[in-house]
Amino acid sequence: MRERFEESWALWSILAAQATLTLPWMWRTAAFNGEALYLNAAHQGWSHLLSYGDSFPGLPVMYPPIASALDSVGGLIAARLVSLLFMLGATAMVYLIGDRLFGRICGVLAALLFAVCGIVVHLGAAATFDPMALFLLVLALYAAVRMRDSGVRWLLVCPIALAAANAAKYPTLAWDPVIIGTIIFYGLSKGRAAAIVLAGSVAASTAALDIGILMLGGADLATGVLRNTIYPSAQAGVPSSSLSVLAHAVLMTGLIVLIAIGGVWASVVKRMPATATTFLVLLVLAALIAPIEQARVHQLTSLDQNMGFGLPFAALGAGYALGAWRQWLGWQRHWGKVIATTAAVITVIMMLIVGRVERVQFRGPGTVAAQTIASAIARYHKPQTYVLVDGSPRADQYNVPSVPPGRWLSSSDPEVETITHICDLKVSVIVLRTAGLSAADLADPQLTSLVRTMFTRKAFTGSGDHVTDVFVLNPGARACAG
Amino acid sequence: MLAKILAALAMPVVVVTLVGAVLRLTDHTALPPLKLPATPSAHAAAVSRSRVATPGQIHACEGHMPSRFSGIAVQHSPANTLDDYHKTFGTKPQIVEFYNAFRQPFRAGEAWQAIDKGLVPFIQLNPRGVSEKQIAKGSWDEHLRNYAAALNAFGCTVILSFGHEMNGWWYPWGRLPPPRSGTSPAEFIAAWKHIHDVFANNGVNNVIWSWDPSHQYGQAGPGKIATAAGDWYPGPGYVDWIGLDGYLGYDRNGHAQNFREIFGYQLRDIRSFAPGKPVFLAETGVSRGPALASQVAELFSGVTAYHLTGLVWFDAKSSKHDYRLGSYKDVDGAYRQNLTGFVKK
Repeated sequence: MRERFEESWALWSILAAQATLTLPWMWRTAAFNGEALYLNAAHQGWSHLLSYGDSFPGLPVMYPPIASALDSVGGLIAARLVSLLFMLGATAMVYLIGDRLFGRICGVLAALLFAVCGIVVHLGAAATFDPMALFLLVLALYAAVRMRDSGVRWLLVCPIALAAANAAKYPTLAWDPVIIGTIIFYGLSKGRAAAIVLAGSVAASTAALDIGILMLGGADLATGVLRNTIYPSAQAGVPSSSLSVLAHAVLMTGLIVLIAIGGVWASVVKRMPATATTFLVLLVLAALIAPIEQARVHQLTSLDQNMGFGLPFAALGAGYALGAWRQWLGWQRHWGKVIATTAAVITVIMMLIVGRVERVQFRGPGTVAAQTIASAIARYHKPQTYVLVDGSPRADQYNVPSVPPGRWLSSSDPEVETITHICDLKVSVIVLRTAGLSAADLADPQLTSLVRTMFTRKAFTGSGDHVTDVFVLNPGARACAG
Repeated sequence: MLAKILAALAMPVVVVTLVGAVLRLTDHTALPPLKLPATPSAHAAAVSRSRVATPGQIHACEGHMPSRFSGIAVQHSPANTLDDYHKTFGTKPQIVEFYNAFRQPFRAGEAWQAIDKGLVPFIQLNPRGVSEKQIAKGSWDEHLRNYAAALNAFGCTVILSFGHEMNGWWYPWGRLPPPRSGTSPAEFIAAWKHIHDVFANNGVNNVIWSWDPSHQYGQAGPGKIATAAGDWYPGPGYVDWIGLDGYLGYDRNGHAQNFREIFGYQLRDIRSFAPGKPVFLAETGVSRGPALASQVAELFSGVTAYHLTGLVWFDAKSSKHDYRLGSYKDVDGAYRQNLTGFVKK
């Protein structure tokens, strides 16, 4: 009883810490473009949602309806809360897997490292496909581990969870071989033939389910799967060098991966069975899939989301490493456990610091800033006119539902004849962003000059090079020709 | 353990049976067509080309064109628009045109969608928010080199235009009405030549350079001055094709415009300074109105009469008109009727 309480105490403390780290981000940031796109798409109805089959990174009818239903009830916070629940579930699963694989201490350390990682914290506060997919992937991993010693139940759960993860977000397909590998390497100790049969069964069943979903989805879904897996260029941003991609990856999860590599070394030193060492290598490789693939295609876009899928594996390897060192130090010196515990605490603190420092791509704009812009748009937009937004208008569109969908223009849309619209007085509000990452088409000096001649700045947020201005058409403005 | 092994052996069979039953019940018995587009990373052109499988794709990849072609310009995914086009007209065009902001990377995805469908991609590179002076000075060379590398990696033929309708008054890469200064012809030409040279120095040899002025010239209103195309011509060594943009509609008196009124002046001008260059309509359409059928016929027959090499229909909405195909029966009917026999092998 006491042991159970202690186990629960450790896990619940980690979950509480994770929630404490995550919750402020729910209120601190407004919807970013991705969130706004998914929620708006689902709000516009089922048939509209299906039209995103060739572009969304996951099955459009899986996560978006859930998020949009919650958004309708409790707003963006409610949609984000479900992400937090998925991420807390994932942490609990990491703990249970670590406990089962390497023992309770390792489970606690793995869950702790996973929970405090910046990627996990921010995924928990983002209404995107990732938390659901990550939870399902970790559930599949848990089933893969339980399968060896339990009955048929987990054999059934594993392919279903894995196929569901693949459907929730297509890039998780890259981790399917890791799950199959886990069944093999962890199961080998109970018989080679059994492990191979179980792995083959899960692989075949998952493949059948995935192919079934693909065939049901048709050509659009097939395009969406390709576009979000092996074909990264269609909606990607400016290419980055492989070195830059890897440097970002190292900053985000390098410490955990380094410790996990130390776990492989510990396994060799401890003369663990080859299968156990191979399994630890597999965990490290799983953490490297996303950075290597993103470096291959020279893309930073979605790096953090995709790295999230490898993180549970790295955390398990790192949990094992820290547990093993703690045990070894405990044997060597009477104060060894104190040193090991101190090292673990320092690691966690470093993870927390890195989590605060790293620039996570999907972090939205500040809530206050977004509200300032949204109120100005809502206040000054005139019926039958357009709001012209520098870059993508998705987030602003989500924040200002009073402006109809057809009344938003993006300056980055090559077909929008920006000058014509402005000159014909069809644009009543212009949102001009001078942030470095914006499309910033309106940053053209001549156009900016036109905007400043006919419009008056009514609101702005930001400072320095990152300013968002809201310009409103002057009441007496005349068409350019006049 | 035996029970588990048996269950493991049975599970895939059960899953396949269930999935198969669902697919049969819902009539989804064929695998969806898989398009395998390229990545922009540094694969050799040969690798990219190896993805091109069918004779039609090889034909498009190598840039073979009929002596008179048809094309469409699209705002969204070329693949979807081309599917709709095929459903409506039972055929396919030879070119698909789409737009690529200058600052964005090469849109390999869309280009591959074109090749996959057996069409040559036609890219309008729009320097919005970019100073042409800076381009000519070399400030964008790194971006241009990346773009060139992506074009090399793509490997297939691309028709590329930069700053279309530069001679009008409505784009910042052309002259703008006062008080805005816009871009001068000399600045535009310098930028064009610089881009051309950077691409050439980086081994790009799969581009057909299409220089695309607007049909408009003269003064349309105070400050709204479109200049003769010749002022903006980079020279025969820098241009392969000339594409003219223009639409048939109605003048201020409600008179239905004909081909000669819209294109006559610039075509005469173009023939005088660029004799022998293939000329086509790079963006065209007919706005809906009482003379729609006759104007569509006028457009197609004008292309033939003026010995142009083809036309690209703007299959999209502009700020004022809806030129989309597949949306209006009268437009589709007129287009279908005139398309028959238009494309010349």
